[in-house]
Amino acid sequence: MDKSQLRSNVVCAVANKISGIGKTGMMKSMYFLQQVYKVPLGYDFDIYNYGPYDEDVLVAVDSAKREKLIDVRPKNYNGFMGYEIVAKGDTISELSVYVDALDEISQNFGKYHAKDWELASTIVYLYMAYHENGWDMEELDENVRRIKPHFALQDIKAERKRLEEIGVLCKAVVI
Amino acid sequence: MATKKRIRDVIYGFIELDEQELEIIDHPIFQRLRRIRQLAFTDMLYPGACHTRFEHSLGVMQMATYMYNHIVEKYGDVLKCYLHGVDDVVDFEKEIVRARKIIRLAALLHDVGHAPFSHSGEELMPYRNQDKDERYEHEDYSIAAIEEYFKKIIERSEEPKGCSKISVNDVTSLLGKKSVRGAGGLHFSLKPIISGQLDADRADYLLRDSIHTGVDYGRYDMWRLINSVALTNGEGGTLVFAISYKGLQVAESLVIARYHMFSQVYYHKVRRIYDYHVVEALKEVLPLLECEGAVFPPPTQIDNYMRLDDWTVLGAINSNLSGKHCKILKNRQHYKLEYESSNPPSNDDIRKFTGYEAKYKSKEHYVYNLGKIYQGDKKAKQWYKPEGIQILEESGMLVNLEEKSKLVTSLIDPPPSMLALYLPRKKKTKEKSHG
Repeated sequence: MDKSQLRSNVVCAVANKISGIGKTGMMKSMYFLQQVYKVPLGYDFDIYNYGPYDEDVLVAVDSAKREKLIDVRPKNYNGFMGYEIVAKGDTISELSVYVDALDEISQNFGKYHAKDWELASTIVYLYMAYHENGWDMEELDENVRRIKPHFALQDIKAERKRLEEIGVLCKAVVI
Repeated sequence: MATKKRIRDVIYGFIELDEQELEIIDHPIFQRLRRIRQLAFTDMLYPGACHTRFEHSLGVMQMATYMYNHIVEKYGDVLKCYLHGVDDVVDFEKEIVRARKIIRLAALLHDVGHAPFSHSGEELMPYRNQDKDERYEHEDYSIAAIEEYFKKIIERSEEPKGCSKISVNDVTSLLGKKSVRGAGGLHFSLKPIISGQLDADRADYLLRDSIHTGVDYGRYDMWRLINSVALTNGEGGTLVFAISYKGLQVAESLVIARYHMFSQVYYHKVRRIYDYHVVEALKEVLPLLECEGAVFPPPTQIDNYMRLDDWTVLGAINSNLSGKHCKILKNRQHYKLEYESSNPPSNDDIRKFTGYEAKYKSKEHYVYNLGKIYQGDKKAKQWYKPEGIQILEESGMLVNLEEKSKLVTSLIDPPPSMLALYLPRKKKTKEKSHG
């Protein structure tokens, strides 16, 4: 399976796991799959105020739609028009090696809204940089808040604690 | 900004610079950009295409400033509300001045790490990982160069009293640096001005390349674009950079301009073969320039890398005319297009190319496989990526451009993947081309 086939099939697999997932959720779940669960998707995420982002994830979503693996439907999310990604195909057996990763994504983040996905993925992105460079972790929450000032500091701290407890931060820095 | 100097520009008329920016421009590493042509050997096809990364860099700074000023003027309240509560943004008016400076510096320096012959030479950047499936990109060199040569100048910025000091990280965090310690704040919220499908880089190069090549397809209504950039809160309160509904047509024309420039200039059949000859010629001369393994030095050897520019490489090419591709470049004796497949290639095309590869296996030839090239460089090979531009409707709703425009929808194709066979002139066969 080449890289583009892997990408569109993983999009389908995530849509099968998390019903009603939006595009933000899909973007961030690809980030988690690659950075935390080491699925070799080959994306190159850059950080924005909306969290880690690679436009090629949306290319993969578009490819999966063309291949009729998923459907993308407009949906109103609390007053914001977004898009719901619905699986049309089955998860292919070649992805069975990633079944644990897909399960964990679903268990850990399956109920998240766009805002939560953005916060969790931003924390992971910064945590990796802080860990790699040996920077003071005390600064991390403040740094996340500088990037995402619409979150209260206590919410950032709480989310970081949760990510620590469920082992996501630990897995993210394992090479 | 205390203007120190005005420089003439083909797009904006004048570009204004302050003392600090002048110091950057006068730095030998920035002057190197005068010796890196924007479009490599495109002048073999369009003789006017001799412009450099130097003028483009100045232009991106000007375009970014126009976009930024419009956003601040029209959407200042959105920004102010968003940043409310960031501890070191105590005075929004002063923060506006500070963020403008950071955005200008990032725009000015974004291409400072380009290799000789711009994108054409990037195939010879070394691998960044042991698996050898990921090469360094010019952005990695830009970040390394900014940190090595421009840190002191950047950190001497005179930000308004009461604002935090501008650091080199403020600038590099807009250019893709992964280690974003301290990133955030007003300038970071507007990162899409520097990096995105609507960024100042793209807005400048389409116009500039169009003017210099004489190919008008790249032109669009610049002032309408600048006055249409918009900012709003998206789902979950995040800031979203968009185009106002009044600018729908200019957003379309930007995408179409890109499509035309790619098909008529950047991927023109002659430009494509010169990109191949450039890489092959570089392989011939890089060892003569003490580049180990015939690749550019990595970003960790930034001094060694920065001594290379079009002049040094052209000099080496000129003194190495025994090198086949060096000679081809000097005398414009490029391989000719023999056959080009449809896009995507049909089964018949693929059969034909399998046959060609066997037939020319031990002979000089070049098979151009755009699909493979796309996989190697994701950045530039698709005219428009889904959801790349969002339209801010009068109602305040955000809608993807492709949903508002059938024209743009038709341009969201899978990446082009045609195949082409080029042969040396003397070896041209009688096979018919439908390219």
